[in-house]
Amino acid sequence: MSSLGRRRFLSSAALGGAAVVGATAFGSVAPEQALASPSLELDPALPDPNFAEGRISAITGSMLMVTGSDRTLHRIHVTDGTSLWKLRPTTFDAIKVGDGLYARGLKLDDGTLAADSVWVNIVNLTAHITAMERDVLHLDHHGDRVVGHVVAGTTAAVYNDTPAVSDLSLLQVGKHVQVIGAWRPDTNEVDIATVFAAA
Amino acid sequence: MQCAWPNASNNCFDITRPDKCGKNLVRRTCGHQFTITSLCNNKAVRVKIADCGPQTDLWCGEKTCCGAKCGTNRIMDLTPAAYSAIGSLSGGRLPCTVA
Repeated sequence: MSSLGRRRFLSSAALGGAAVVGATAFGSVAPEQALASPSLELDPALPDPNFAEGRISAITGSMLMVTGSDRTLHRIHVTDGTSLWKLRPTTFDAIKVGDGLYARGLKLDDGTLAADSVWVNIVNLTAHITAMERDVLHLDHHGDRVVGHVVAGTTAAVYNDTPAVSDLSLLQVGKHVQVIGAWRPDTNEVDIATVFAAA
Repeated sequence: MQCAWPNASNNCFDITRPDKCGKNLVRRTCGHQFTITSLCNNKAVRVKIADCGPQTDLWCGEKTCCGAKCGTNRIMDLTPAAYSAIGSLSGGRLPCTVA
């Protein structure tokens, strides 16, 4: 079984944040809302200076040294107020060299990114279930095989509009799913946080 | 900041088929810009179409809510940079408006 590099995972997942829109979706945005959102000031064609992605090459104190997929070097400052996620909300000591991340915060004058949120090893996959074991979902992610590990006490399922539940019994082989999880670096394996499935 | 849109071309529409879920999404091609506003926190982001997706018809009737504010049916995918400007990546999906 071949391994997938993080870049492969993330490029596959790059458009994975699914927005679900209601019946009023196409109403116009109120001007006061638009003007209140800093992200609207950005040209969509330009990189967002307040966002970074890459793999951690070193950790110095509370600073993460990150090499982006385009080889850009980022210095990401984690504070007590930074929200950290690695399969679940976590703490700084869970972050390791070699982990991948996405970070959002505020780019400071010294070039560092003061992070509001850091998502470590997060992946967002659309896939089909090819086989199931008690604690494993075997997934076909657009032709690549991915092993999804069920983590007791963490993995949850969402069936259409149900609340997240720990019961995975409604998952079926052959069905499509969306998986939010944490990549195990340099493997084709993920730990599953949430699996979305059509009921 | 980029997004995928289910009606970016004829070929795209034939795959995604939002009409099967009752969604009448206008044709908008690569480069078109949208403003996406989260119904969870009113944060907004400008994105431009760079891809086709999501496959809306696989998820007909799917619903997600923030309190009493709900959305149904998948109509857009966002890059992590765009999504994280209006919500947490670990949430995976959110209700929003598109303009």
